Amino acid sequence: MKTFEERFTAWLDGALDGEELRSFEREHRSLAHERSDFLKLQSLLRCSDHRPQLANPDFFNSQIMAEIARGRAAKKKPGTRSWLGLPRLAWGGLGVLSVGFALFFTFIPWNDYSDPRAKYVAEVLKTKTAGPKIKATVDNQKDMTIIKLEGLDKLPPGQDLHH
Amino acid sequence: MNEIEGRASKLEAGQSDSVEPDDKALVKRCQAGDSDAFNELVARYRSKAFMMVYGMVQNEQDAWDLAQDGFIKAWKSIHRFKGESSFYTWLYRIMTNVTIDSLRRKGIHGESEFDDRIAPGNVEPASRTTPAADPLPYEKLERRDIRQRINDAIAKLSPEHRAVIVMKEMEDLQYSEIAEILDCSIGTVMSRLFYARKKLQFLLRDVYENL
Repeated sequence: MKTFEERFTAWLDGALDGEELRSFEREHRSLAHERSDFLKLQSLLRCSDHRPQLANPDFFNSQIMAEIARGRAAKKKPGTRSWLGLPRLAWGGLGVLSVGFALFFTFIPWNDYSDPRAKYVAEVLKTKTAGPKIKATVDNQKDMTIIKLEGLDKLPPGQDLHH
Repeated sequence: MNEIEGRASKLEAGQSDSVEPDDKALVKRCQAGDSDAFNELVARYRSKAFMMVYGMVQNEQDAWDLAQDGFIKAWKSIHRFKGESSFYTWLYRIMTNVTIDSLRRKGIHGESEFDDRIAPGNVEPASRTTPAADPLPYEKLERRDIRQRINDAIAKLSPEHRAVIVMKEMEDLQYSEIAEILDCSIGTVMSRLFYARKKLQFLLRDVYENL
């Protein structure tokens, strides 16, 4: 089903024929002067068509060909391509991120709750113990410091508190 | 209507056998990377393309730039041209799209596309589409004044309406050709023509009534 606009436009342009034309004109008898009105507009538009000719057409062509040549040159020389290309930026960004993560995991101390005083205690213990086999180590944990002494002799049975 | 729709394209009829094969051959060479062939195509269609674009933008420098943009886009996408339409129709579509995009970027949307004052219900029955204007004697109007009035009126159309007016009234293309170029239905073309013409009648009645 054609809309009124389509039928009207076709009618103005003489593109309706046969039953379609008769039917349209029967339904819209009062539109007769619309066609003459439109023909005046059409005549005005066509007679006043003052569109200028293309000035300097050879220059027009030469500019287009120069642009095409520039495009080709850019394709042929990958070395001259911009470093700001999207793929390069993406790979560059990825690389920087990787290096950043590596540095972070390498140099950032994890669970380092060290207390300088604990090291001092360990050193004192080492120097104060009589046996050279005794080894003092310090294990720093969150909220606590464990000092281990390895190489101690067993307690004499008389002084063993478990007995 | 069917007769019109079925009528051979005037453009393509104009491009008789002696011309169209040349276009096809040139296009093939372009697709193989021969820019000299494209130079020939540009030389062949530059004037028509420029005038079509000018009709829509009403500015010589803009028309020059846009026509160049259109040709460069055509070169870049010529490998996608399958020959389903004539080269000129395909080129025309690119030119039209470039021009419509440019007009949209400039914020030109035309005044209300479906102006109530010119709605179908008000057109029928035979109502005049403009209030009576003081007649301006044609003798007093310089030719450039008339042109300016026409330019001003066209400037008030949306890009899509400009396109159909230029193609139909100035380039004298068929509905089917316009539809192919604008990638829309023939019904849409006719509908746009209806509103564009009504708007121009509204804006220019005092001019053509006094001619």
